Amino acid sequence: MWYYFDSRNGETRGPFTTEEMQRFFSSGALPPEIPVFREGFADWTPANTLSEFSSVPISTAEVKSLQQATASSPPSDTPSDPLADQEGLCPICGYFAGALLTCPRCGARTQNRISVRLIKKISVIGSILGVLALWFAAQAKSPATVSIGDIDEPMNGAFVRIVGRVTEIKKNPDKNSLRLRIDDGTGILSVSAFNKLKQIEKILGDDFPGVGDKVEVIGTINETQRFGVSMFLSVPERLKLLEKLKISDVAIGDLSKEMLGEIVRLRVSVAKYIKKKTRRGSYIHILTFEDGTGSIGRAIGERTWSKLPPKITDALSTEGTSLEFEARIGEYRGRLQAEIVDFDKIKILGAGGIPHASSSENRGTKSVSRKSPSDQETRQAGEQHKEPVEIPRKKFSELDKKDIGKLVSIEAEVRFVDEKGENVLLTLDDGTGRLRVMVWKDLQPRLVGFENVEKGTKVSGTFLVSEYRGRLQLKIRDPEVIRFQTP
Amino acid sequence: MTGLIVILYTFLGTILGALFCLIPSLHIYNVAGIAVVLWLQIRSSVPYDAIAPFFMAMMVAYSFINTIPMTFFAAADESAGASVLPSIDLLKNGRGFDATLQTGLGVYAGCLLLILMTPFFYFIWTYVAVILAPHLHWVLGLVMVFYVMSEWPKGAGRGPTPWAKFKDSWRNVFAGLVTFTLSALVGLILTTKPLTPPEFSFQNIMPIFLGFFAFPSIVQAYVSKMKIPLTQYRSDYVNARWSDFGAAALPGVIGGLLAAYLPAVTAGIAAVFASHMTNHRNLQPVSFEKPREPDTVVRLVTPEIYYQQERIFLIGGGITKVLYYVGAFLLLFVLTDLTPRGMGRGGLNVLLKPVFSPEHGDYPIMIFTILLSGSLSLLLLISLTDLTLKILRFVNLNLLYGVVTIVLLGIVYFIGGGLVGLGIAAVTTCIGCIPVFYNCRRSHCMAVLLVPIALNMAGYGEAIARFLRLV
Repeated sequence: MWYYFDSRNGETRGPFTTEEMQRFFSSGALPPEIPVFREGFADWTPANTLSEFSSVPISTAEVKSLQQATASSPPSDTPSDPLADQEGLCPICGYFAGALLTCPRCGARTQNRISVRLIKKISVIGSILGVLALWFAAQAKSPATVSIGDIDEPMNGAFVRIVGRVTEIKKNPDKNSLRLRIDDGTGILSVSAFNKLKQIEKILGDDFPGVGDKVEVIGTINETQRFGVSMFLSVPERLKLLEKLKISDVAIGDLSKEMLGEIVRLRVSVAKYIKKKTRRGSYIHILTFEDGTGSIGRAIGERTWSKLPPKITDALSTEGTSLEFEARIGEYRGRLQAEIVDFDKIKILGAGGIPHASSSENRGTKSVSRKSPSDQETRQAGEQHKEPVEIPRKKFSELDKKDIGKLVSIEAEVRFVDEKGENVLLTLDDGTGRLRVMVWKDLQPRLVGFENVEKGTKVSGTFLVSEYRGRLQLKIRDPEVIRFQTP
Repeated sequence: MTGLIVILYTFLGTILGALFCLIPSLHIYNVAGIAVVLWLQIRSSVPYDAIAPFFMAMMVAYSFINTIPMTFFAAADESAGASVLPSIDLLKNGRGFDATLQTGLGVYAGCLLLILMTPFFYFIWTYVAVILAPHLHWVLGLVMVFYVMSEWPKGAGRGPTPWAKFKDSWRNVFAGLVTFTLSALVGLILTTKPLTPPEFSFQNIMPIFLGFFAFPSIVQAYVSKMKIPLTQYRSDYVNARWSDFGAAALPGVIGGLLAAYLPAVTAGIAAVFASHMTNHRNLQPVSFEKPREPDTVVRLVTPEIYYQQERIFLIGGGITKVLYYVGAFLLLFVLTDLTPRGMGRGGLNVLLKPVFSPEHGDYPIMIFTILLSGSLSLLLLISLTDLTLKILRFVNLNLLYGVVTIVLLGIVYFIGGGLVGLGIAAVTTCIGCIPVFYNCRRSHCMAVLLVPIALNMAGYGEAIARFLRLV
């Protein structure tokens, strides 16, 4: 098999058989002195010095004129050749050269209506300039600010900015991960940062957000049918603290139902600690705190209790221990509850009695305690927030598929309790119809009164209307606003 | 799921998938994206149980029917990397029907293999997935290295001067490296800071892939002016042997499984791996006797000599394609204690994630859907190929490509991100034209996903974002 070197474009062509090479020479596609090579040759050799090709009768001048004709003329000007009229075919040997500029067999220049050379140049230059343009555009782009309530399925993968208040923080130092829940008044978003906790703490320092703080987070939306909307925080700088929650010191005696949802700072002592076994076999730790002006209770499920540091559990379970912590004011069976927002921030002041907290008359100016993220006051102007909407109270019979994705307030009774592994499927009945709600295992400890749920338990609160396998159902968006009351 | 809903929507998905797949260069993920948008508008009227069988049937139908535009209109997608050359070769020799049928039978064999591999998925593959999961970035890195290295110059270049030899050796490889690098840069930029408006985000990858694969295919087809020989032979029997199916099964399964499981690895890339691993050589040529007279309008051509390797590539390519598209979605339904959320990969899983979650008990229904849709699609393939042969002489390819271009541009504009989407598609079209016109692998464009995914899995995504000043 033969190879030849085409000096016009510096390319080596082949392999070809002897007959094919002879045809190239006889048709004038190749000049006779072109260097050729085959296995066994020491070096490239002019073809016309070889016996196989030396008898091919064509002059170099004829070859040159033919090459010029194929190189510069449009198809209609090439020498008369039955193959020259067919686009994509080599005018010399008839091989299908397609989009190539020169025939891959004989090296003759092919004719194309569209200059392939131009396309090649455009593709290379366009690629490089295009990538640069994309890079500059990405640098200049500011993400759109959206409300959590506006996020729907087509926005999966959207790069957006969310502003809201932190309702929950979970740090996992072992895995170096962080999870936040942010409420902007229209919905709740879970933000996860894997293997980034230390970096975030280092970068933010004192500006590390706490529960109730207003933050801005930029990232990509990840929406799944099962777990709802979440966001992955891949770059620590994309979490920013905008406004710190001002927490005031409040005495228990000054608490009232108007303060439901507010986060306050309490200095109390543990008045009573009871460890009780539930019907499901797990334990619940019932605490009563007092500060001399009143008492307030709190129940902590075993799942949460088991994750607390030993010094915290020892302090909480020792009657008389003095503590200071931040708590969200909640309600259970008509009585106020202190829901500790961050167990890591509990300060153990000492064992024994505490300096009794004075009521508000004896204190200085009481700073206004900001309400928890679910309150309407957190929705500030300046960002593209939606004005908060009243969550309507609805009966099950009034709900239809148009309500999917909307928050509704309901009051119902548990009809059936079905355990699905560690999750629990409740069927609720409000007298006008029945709907189901799946209580996932990680939500259960956060639901007030859930540990005693049974048939007949009253349920009230705000749920998200959703759909599962074609049927309406309820979804728990914010466990803190749901109450279970077992008679 | 009720049986009637499953059967009805399997039929519907198969028919719609088959019709849309006939459009050259329109990928099934684009069609699925449009279908998801439509479903969101009418979901109150459509039962939820219909989603899985409908989309599964569409994927199955695509695996079959896409063979027709791939063979006859030179509109191969990336997954056809292993079989496009033998298909075109057969088409030019008047054997387009054979190429289509052999690929189609490969796809059907792949459907049956998927069903038979159920115990393997549940009892072996789950463990493999769990073991590999923390190390996937290494696997992807290996894939990238192998893919680039396998195109490395093999032996010295030819030329009378050192520069000529160097140029000869490195021409194609350099083009491949440039394509790989530019694609990777596009991927890193657009995954770190997507430019698509939020309301188009769930299809933000569509302009990228249309630019890399669809538009360059159309440009190439238009520029090359390939003439489809009008003399096409339509045989009444399959020009393949049972041993060909046996020989094609191994590379097909290996390639398909790799593509189904590894993120960003498509069937084309996986097929290269599989063919290297199974090392098929040019086997003994076999000549066929003159076939019987056909009963179509085409004239009989002279008997051809087939190389078994061509048939293995075609059949194996079909197996790889269906294991990639259908298998990637089917793995979503393999719910075990080790994989409680399934092992689904691929574009369809990303599209359906916000609207669908699998449940225990869905897997057998998906198997039934694959079987039903596969059987129906094979019959449709034969009928539609016959129809294609009949209308081939009347099809104006220039007009067809022009219409397809307008349709795709419309899809990019209205679903893929408006003007931003068109801009992205323009850039990626330029990059996608490099392998087409500089004769290197088009699969290098998959670096747009491979590189960012591997870097993010390895924990370097943030570092890259800082380096590119996209924080």
